[in-house]
Amino acid sequence: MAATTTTLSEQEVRARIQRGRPIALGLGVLGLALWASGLATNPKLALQGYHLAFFYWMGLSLGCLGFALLLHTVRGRWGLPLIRIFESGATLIFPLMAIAFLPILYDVFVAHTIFEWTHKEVVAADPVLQAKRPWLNETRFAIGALVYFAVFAFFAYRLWNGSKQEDESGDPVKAEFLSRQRSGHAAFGIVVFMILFTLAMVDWGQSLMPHWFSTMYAVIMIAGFGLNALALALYMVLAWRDTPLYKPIVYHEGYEGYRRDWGNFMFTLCVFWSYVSLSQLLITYSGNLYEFTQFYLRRNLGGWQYIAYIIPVFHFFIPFFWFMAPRTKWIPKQLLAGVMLVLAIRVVEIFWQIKPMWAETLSISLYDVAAFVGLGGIWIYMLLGNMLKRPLVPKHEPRLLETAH
Amino acid sequence: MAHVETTPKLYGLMAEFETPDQLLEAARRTRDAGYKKFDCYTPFPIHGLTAAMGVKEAKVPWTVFTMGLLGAIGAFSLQVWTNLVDYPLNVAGRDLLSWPYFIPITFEGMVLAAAFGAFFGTHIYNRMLTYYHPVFNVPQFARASSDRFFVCIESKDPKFNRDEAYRFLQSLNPISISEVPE
Repeated sequence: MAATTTTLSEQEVRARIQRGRPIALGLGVLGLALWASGLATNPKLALQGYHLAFFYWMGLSLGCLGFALLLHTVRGRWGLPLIRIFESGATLIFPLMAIAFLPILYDVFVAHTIFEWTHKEVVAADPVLQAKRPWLNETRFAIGALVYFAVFAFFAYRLWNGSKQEDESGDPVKAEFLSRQRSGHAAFGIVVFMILFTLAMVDWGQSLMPHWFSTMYAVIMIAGFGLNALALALYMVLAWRDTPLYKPIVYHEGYEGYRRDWGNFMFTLCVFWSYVSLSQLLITYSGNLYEFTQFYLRRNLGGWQYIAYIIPVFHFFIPFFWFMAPRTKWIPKQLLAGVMLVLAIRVVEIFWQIKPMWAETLSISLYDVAAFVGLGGIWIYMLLGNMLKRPLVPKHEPRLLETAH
Repeated sequence: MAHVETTPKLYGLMAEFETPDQLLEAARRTRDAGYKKFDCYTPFPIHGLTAAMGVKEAKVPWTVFTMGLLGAIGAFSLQVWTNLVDYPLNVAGRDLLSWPYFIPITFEGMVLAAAFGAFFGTHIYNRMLTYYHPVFNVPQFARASSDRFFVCIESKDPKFNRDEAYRFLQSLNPISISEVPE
């Protein structure tokens, strides 16, 4: 029976996930314990480091949600092996990331270390920040977060439950019907998602430097975190390419079945991220107004410029040539190496985006690392847990291994 | 002057097949038999045919890549030369080497040169604008654009010998074998 063979072929991957979970949980608990000790000794650095970690892992969850919405809308065959991973990542928005948001709320209302606009005396002396008060105030910030989490979670669980129903339907015709029905919801979801994502990025990213703003910011972030989510999902599938579940998928029709599409999508997102990042720089450079240039001034001085040199090389030039080469998509190991490079440089990029908001010179604190590993460990632990809850690839999907021609 | 009857030179031998699978098999065996100068003619693209024929990596991508690189370097250098050497102009106190401004032009230069590389590369390597081709001298070949599949071993091939090639093509069980006059 088909159902039994699916379960059998999944056993190896499931065993590996089971082995990986305690490691992730251990790292997470260790990191969070170290971070919590910092709360007592140096709450300012600890909370700022925490916001950095929250921004990255929340962004990754939202990247997963964005990809899940996209794949359910277009119903592309190339995303079928990855879609359950994206759905598992998207549902981490609630409750995990919502709980992880509480320390930031605490900071906004009580500690006032992360956001400059939460300092009463700073705002009182600054007419610009006073004018921005209708948006940048604590109550609105909290209500905004409530709305974002509620709507993001709604769509994440809508897709999760829909896919679950499809897997449990036991009937390809019904599965197809459910899948098509879901695609309409997801298409609407993309619109809502992008609007709320833009606002969330204003709140959690741009408002760290409250005088500065950029209309490109949310686009840069969704391109980057989309790339990040894709790299994460591809990392798992490619790293597990020797298992009975993923082997036939990864090697399907040579490289023309899946790997070429995956590599091309990595290429596209790298280029898109570079395009919007450069656009922001170019517009800022042309305008030459302090209101806007302060973002780059901060990131071009005090040692931050060295990271600014690294990012275009490893986030654009190397991935550009790497993912463009047909050989990369032909050799799974080489594709995996490119995916790992992207995963690494994404962390550096977000660090460069967020940390200079507080630090004028290049610096990294122990709490940045501790909070990142801590929250990340729990995030991965929960992600793997979510993946175990359902079949790892769509169960009644005849397109998964059909031949394209 | 006396009229001299000349037999046309032989361009090659052509075998006709009914199905894509037979053609794939024929292409594979022709390659394995050691023939280098042969070509396949089909009404529609057949997956795996280039691999079966043993065609090496295509040249067009590399041409496009090289042209794109040259275009980018050329466009960037042009801007560096005009802004720094030929006509330095102070624009709002910015550096003369304001590279962020150069990027869009560099990108466009790359795209333009790469597009030329693709357009002319395709034409040159595929020998497009060929007005005469000997294969059309075979009447059956008209069906190459509807429902028949052809392999033609060319006489230019160093291994080509008319009788041997004929026997070889016969071993592939084609519907017909024709001589292709030059």
